[in-house]
Amino acid sequence: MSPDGPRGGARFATTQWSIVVAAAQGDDTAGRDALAALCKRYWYPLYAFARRRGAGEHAAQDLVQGFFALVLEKDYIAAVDRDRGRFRSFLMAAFTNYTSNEREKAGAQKRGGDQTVLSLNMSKGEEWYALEPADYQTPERIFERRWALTVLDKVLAELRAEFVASGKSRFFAALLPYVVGGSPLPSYREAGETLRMTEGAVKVAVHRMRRRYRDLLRAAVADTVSDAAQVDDELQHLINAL
Amino acid sequence: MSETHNCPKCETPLPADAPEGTCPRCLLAAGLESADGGATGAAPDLTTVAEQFPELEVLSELGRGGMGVVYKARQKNLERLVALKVLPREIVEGDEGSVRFEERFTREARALARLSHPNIVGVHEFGEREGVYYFLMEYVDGANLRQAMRTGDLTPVQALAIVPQICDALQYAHDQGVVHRDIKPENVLLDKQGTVKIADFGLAKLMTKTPDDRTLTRQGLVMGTPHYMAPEQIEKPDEVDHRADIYSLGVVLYEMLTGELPIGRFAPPSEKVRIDVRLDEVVLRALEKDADRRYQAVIDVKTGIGEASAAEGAGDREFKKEASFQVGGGDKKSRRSSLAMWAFLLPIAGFGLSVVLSIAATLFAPERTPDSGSATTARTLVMGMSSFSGVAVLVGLILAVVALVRIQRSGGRLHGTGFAIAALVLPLLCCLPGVGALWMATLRSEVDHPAPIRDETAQIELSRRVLPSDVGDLIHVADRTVRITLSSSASRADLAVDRRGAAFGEPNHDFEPLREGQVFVVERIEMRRFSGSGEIALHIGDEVVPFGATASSTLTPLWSGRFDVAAGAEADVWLDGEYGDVAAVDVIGRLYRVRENE
Repeated sequence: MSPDGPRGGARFATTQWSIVVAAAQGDDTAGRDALAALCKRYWYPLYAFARRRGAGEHAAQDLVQGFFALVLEKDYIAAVDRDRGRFRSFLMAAFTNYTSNEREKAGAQKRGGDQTVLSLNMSKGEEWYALEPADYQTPERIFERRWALTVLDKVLAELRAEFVASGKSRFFAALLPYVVGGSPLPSYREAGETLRMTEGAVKVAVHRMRRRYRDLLRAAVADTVSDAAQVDDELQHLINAL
Repeated sequence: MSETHNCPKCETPLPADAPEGTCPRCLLAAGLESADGGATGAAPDLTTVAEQFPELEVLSELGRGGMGVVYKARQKNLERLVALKVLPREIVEGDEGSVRFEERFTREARALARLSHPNIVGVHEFGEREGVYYFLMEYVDGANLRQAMRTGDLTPVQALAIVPQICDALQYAHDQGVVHRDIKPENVLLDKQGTVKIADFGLAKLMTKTPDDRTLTRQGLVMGTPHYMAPEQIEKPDEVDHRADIYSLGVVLYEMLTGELPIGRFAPPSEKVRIDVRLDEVVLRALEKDADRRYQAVIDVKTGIGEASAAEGAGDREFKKEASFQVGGGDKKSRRSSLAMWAFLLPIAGFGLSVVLSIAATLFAPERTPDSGSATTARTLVMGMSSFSGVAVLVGLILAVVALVRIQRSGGRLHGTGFAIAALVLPLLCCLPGVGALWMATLRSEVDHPAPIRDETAQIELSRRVLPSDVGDLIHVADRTVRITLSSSASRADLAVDRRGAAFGEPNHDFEPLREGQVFVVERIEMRRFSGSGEIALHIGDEVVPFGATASSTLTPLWSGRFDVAAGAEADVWLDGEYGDVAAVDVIGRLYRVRENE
């Protein structure tokens, strides 16, 4: 009921993507590091995109590696629209451009193979890709959907790690459903009985978990947009992508 | 079981790769600024609601979703159960200045309150209290369609009975200028009598941005469930009209029939479940991506369903007595149509049966026919039977065609069924004397020639196709005789082609003569693409079997017979006659060692 949370802009004054965008013009190692971190985080959606567009396992790996190599060399960054750019749309547009460019295609193998600018372990890629729903998705849709799920995977992994670190790993799975909510959930009292906590303690725990989850999620999304005001919009976009 | 596959919050099916087994959409939605405070902030608990609505006795929470929270309550003065829907606070807060929202809310709510239809959840009252916008609505005691589907009890027949009611409700609302915009199984309620009640009419419009609200990004929440939304609802929300509901209805229909959502390149429902293929057309047309190619009115969907399921007006009445709705049940029309289907099958069955009987008769008789007096009788009988069967087949065919034409023209009624039955029965009757003759001939021939006891271990398959490459020069020799010598060795059997008695081909040298006690049963000798003239006969030992007419063209004489092998005898099969061209001669038979009977 509290008029909670004025726009959380201040919290994310410097997001990774905003650093990248800010550094686009100059030669800033911070920008490069931030970009590398983002690429590391979101390589799989690109990989799935390339695979769905028909590239083979190794070709897709080479394309992604080659593309990141090129991106990190800043050939593409300068083209980012500083005001409206989002990492997701930038990556998609740049990658599409990259793969459709015959010259780059021919060079992909060499670039990806010879000069590993970004060390990525992509061996899991094919394993994950095999699990992608095969029936309905266009490369673009699979990219967007996978992007949204990647955001969630990372956030939940972070959250889980925090629970594990504080020795509360068993609470994580039990309380996560309450973050989302929904009618058939057992009441806090029942949950408390299972977890050997009081009803009040469960309430507090859920409240904290929800808050922490939201912060992590919004931070993760904020890292991919240039302006924190875009977080909600981006989130909504990701929801629709699923 | 199936609960685990649906999100407890939005109730859509969980994807297989849902992180931590939690609905990814709801997880992301929990991060929205507007979701701040989540279920605690936006949805007041029972006590708070009870304080805000003193005239109500708030009993329990019925559910919550993107459209707010619904409570079951009792209206104290009227002593009736009502459903209280409290809209999420954030949609109001998100609107720049709630004045604007209030205007829209009032406008929409008035339109909803005017809707009065037995298949639409009625709005008793609406308003705002302490910043909370609410609707007081008719309470529906039952379940929603999602829950009904989840229990797995919803048969395609029941599903089809629900649809006309949905159509009625939507058509009524569309006539009043109200578009639902969020038709999905959760919004289709079913009361205990099986009556459909559609909830949340037009609420989606309150939740989404209107053309003049374009600047309000936070208001740009697309609240509906994307799977049920028409493409134009996502792509061009400003251009949404009543046809969006038709698309959503198509999705619901598809899901009800198949249990799956029509995502991407989906299969027509009839490929997933046993339903009439004509339903595919209806479902697929409702699901047209392009609104112009879709059904243009809900009533047309209803008509389409009615025609396809041959159950016009399959409305609540049929749903309530769903047992009698089954094909062949109480409904006269559906019974008629099922009978008509059988009537279609009858002539085909009759025709097929007579053909089979005739072929069987022609095939079986000669095998049992020895060269004796009784054989002549049997042959005569069989000939007679064959002509009977031939006539029967012809008459059956004609009757079948007449029946089919008449049934088709009578539009699902039973004209022509008499012909169909006759087409079945007549060939049967005609075949009866023939079958009797065959039976008698078999009996008699068995008396004359007891069937040898086959020693299957000594059975040797003889099968050889003699191709022109083997015999090409042979059939153009002066005496125009192809001589096929059947021989056997201990381990193998082969056919040798002899020319005027001379050995042909290397393998012949090793052949042993057939031994006494062996019987060669020729099952069939076929000649393909044969042309020529004259009498063609088959010489087996001393027996000469006429091969039939040999005028021209393709000739595939069916012949079968058996001869006993005398001690040391060489068994030759001769083909005598004038040959023009033979593409191949197939000799297919079996060699048995037999023990004498008795």
